[in-house]
This record gives sequence, C-alpha cells and structure tokens, in this order.
Amino acid sequence: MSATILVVEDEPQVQELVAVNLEHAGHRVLRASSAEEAEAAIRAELPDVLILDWMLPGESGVALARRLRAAERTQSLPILMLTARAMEQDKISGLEAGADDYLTKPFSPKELAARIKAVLRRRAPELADDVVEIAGLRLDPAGKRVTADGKVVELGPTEFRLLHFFMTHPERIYSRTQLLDRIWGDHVFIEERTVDVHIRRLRKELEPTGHDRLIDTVRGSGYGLRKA
Amino acid sequence: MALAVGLAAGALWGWVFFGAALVAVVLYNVRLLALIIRWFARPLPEDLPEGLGTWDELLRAIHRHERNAARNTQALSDALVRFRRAAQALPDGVVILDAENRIEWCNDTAAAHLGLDPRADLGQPIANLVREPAFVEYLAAPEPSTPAPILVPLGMDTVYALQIIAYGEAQKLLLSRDVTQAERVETMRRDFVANVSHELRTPLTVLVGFLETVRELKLDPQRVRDYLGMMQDQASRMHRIIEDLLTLSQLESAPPPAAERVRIMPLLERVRADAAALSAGRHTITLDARPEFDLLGSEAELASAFGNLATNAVRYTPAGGEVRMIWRAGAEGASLSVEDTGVGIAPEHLPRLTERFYRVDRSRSRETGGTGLGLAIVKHAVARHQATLEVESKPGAGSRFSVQFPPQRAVPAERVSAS
Repeated sequence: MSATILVVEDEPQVQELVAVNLEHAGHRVLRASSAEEAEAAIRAELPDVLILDWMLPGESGVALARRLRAAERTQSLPILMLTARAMEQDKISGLEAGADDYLTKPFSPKELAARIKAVLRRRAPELADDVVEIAGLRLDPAGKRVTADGKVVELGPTEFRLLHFFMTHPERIYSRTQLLDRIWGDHVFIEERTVDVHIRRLRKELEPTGHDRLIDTVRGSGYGLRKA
Repeated sequence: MALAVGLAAGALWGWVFFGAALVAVVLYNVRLLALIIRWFARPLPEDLPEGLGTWDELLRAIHRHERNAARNTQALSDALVRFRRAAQALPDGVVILDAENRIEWCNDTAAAHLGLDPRADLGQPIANLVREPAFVEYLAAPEPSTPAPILVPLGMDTVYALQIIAYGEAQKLLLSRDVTQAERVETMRRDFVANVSHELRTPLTVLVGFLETVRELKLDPQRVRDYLGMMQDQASRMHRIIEDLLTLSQLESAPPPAAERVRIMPLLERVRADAAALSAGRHTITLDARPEFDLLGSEAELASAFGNLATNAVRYTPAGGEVRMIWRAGAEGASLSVEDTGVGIAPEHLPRLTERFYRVDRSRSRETGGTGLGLAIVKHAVARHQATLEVESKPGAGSRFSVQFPPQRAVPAERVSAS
C-alpha cells in the first residue's frame, strides 16, 4: 500500500517523527506547518490522507477540517487528527468537524500507521493492500499479481490500477473524468479518450477466461464492474 | 321612674311616661346599633361610638379588641417590612415565586441580576422575563424540590448561579448570585491545567515516538544520532518546564520573602554572565549600574526575575543586537531596566505577556528553549517585593522591561573598605 499523505504539524520534530515512520511504511509524505501551507499543498495536489494537528499557528486544524469538508474537491479526503488535546469533549469536537479518526499525543508510530491503513480501507480501498476477489478474478496489490481462475493475467501498471479500483468499487458506474481523477490523479490533464484505450486493453487481457464480461460500458456515462 | 311618675300623677300618666321612655330606649338602641354597624364598615378604634350602660361595657370590649387587633396588624406589617428590608439587604438576589412561577416579590439585587422591574414585573411569569433556555428548562424540571444551582450566563460576560428552593405551599424562592469572578478563576485554573498537559505532551510525543522509531525501524547511524539529539532536547525542555512550574508554585504559596540585604552588584554581574553564556557571543551585553544602593528582599527570587528578563532579551534579539541592563537606585526607590534592540512586541500582546504559556511567537519560543513561564515568574517575584513591572516595546525596534522598587526596598550599600 502506498498513499500520498500530507502531514500538517507545526512542531518540526513531531513532523519529522510522523514523516519518517510513514515513509518507512511505504507512503509518500508531504509536509506543512500551518493551515495556510496545507491549503497550498492541497491545491497543488490532492493527497490520499491528511494528518492534521489541532493547535496550529493562525487558523486551527479543526477550522481547516471543517472547511475541507465543505469544499467539493476535498469533502471525501480522509482526515486523521493528531493532537495533544486529549479531553473527551475535544475528541467529539474534532470528529464532529469532520475528522475520520482522532489520535492523541503522545502516540505510538505503529498505531498511527495502523490507523491510517484503517482510514484508507474505509475511504479509499484501492489504496489498501488487501487481496480482492470477484467471480474467480483475484487481485493481490502487495504482490502486484492478478489471476483469473488460477491463471496469471499479465497487466500493465495502469490497467492494474484500473482493475484494482473497479474491484474495490464494484457495481458502480464511473465517468471518464472520475476515473482520470481517481486513477491518474486529479489535476492531471489527459484526454478522456485515454481511459477508453486502457479499458480496451484491460478487456483484451481478461478475454481468455471470459472475465471481460464483468467490465460494464454505459454509453455516454462511463465504466464499471459487475460482481457476476 | 315610670312607677314614681305613676304614683305621683296617676296610673295613666305613669303608663304614658312608661311608654314614651320605652320608645326612647328602643330608638336609642336602634340608632346606636346603626352607628355600630356603620362603624364596622371602617372599624377604626378611635371612631367607635360611645354608649350608655351595658352598651358602654360592650363598646369598651369591642374597643379593646379592636385596639389589640390594630396593634397586631401593625406588628405584623412592621415584621413584613423588616423581613423585606432584610431580604433587600441580602447580597444575593431573592425572588418569591407563586405556584405558577409568577413573581410575587423580588429584591433589588435580583432585579439587577435578572433585569426585572421590582414593581412593574410583579405578577409576571418569570420565564417570560428571564428567557435563557437553560434557566427555563431548569425552572420547568419537576423534581427535586431544591435542585442544585445552575450557572446561567446573562448579559455581557457575567455568570450567575441560580437556585430554586421550594417552600410553603407550592411557593418557591429563586436565589441568584453573581459568580462571574469565581467562574473566571475556575476557568483560569482549568486552562492552566489543560495548558500544562499540552506543554508536556508535545516533548513527550517526540521522546516516546522516537524511542519506538529508533527501536523498530532500520535507520542509518547518522539519523539515529539526530533522533537521539532531538530526544535529548525535548527531555531538557520538559525538565525546564517542570523547574519553572515549581518556581511559580513556590512564588505563589510561600510566605512573603524575608527583607534580607541583597548585594546588588554581584547579583547583576551573575545575571549578566548567564545572559552572555546564552548569547555565546552573538550579542553585546552591557551592565550600567551604580553600587550606592542595595535591595531588601529574597536574593533567589530577585535573581530569578532579573535572570528571566535578561535571557528573554537575548532570546528575542537577533544576532548582532544589543542588550543593556541599567540599575538605578536612590532614596526615591530603585529600578532595573533591561533594554534590547530585538524583534519587539506588538501592542495587542502586551497585556497578556505575563500569562502562563502565553507566547507571541511559538516557533521562536521553541527554537530558543523558552518555557512560556518566564514573565509569569518575573511578575510574581516582583509583586512579592511590592515592585511593578513595566513594558515598553515597538515591533522591530526593541523592548524595555523595567522593574520599579518602592523606597523602603532600597537601602544604602554597606561600605566595603577600600583594599
């Protein structure tokens, strides 16, 4: 599992502590020391997870969380609050402001990594490294392996990510724009027809075992994956 | 009499006279009765009609009774007035409510607390006048008859404790007390505890976190050394916070400092040397002092206060800047000023500078190893010597902190024999 994680923390040593542990767990870590810097970083690139301190110079973390939840682009961004405010009332306020999880300082880096994994599994299962299996099609994100009825299927990296996304979000149709945002990353300007090309390649690789029938095309709408 | 008239003037005249007398008596009685009945409409003891014979006795009895009743009434109404005066004089607000929570009476304090008109609002349901939802809910709560008081914020940042006490038949007393000051102290105490826990949590996070990191992850030796260095930093930060907290709590609770002679020159020299050590050559630190007067007080507390002012000046002055310590003393008192050419303080921060853990710039405080308690210590130490702390500052131009001691704290220095 590898996700892009933005750490918003004004104490440089705590920032370093979080960063080194998450990098070791295989994530890419971006850093910010204030709500303002965090917003700039999010404008440049939408991270997969946000780790947010409550007490920041200037605008507080809770206020930032509330604003991110209100904005369309960031409303489903997973937020984990990491703060020294340990009172029950604080936790409630933090969660009510829109945090997905709340961890108090001092914390165990291992626990932080585990909680990030849990948040990702809920919010963005395509980023977690759990093996998924649908109708004889089996995808192992850690081993980067796909098998269909036990036979290995060779996929390019983009087709692999596409299939992983579909298998973790079955029975839903996604538009080309949505797929571009979720798989190629947002703020990436690629022609929508690129999606069609990769869908065609994916279908072709799944054809020998007949699993290509799982990929749904809805004309004018987009693509999805059926469970059977 | 009729008999006498009868004997003298014959039976007929006797009868006539007898009859006339009878009529007169009946008329008299009827008239007196009418007067008494009329009197009962307004029974003032002094207006009671007078009568003859048995009437006299009866009327006297009535008169006595009335006088007693009037006296009792007067005594009762006097008692009521006294009671209301007493209730009026209570430091707490008192409102008497009837079974429907209508105001029967309130004292002026309650009127002021709750915004009531002690005359015009009588008979009004209190919930129409005090509309704070918490209070309305409290008033409507069925049981217990004497619930614990609730705190209700009313008006501009004032907090009242309101309590209902049931008495008599379904009547209630509503007591109000201004607890703004007590609440403020309590809030400060709570904030302080929360702040201490926050201030200690941050270094503890670094310590605990890197301990686990160094133990669990495979890191190159240089990184491990860096992390151990950070842990060391934070351990000493925690140590400094704890030391300062102890100093503060001693300053708060210890008896007033003894008025011992404190030899000022060696003390200021030591403070200057400590500041120079912290500066490590990055600042020019000068001491301008005349040795004619010493101070009376606690050497340890004064050293702590002066030391904090000097190290603050070093911390908040960029390299190349200047820190001046100026000591002036005479019969009119003494003063120590610490001036710097540092970053200065914006005016909005000045009133809060001596609050515990108040920092103008968190990251600078962190970098320079400040605990956020230095000026709180200065404030306490100085106040224990009846001295005052004054701060002048301009952002970008530097700051001046001066401590002014009253005349009784300054004493002529003992003559040191020339050697």
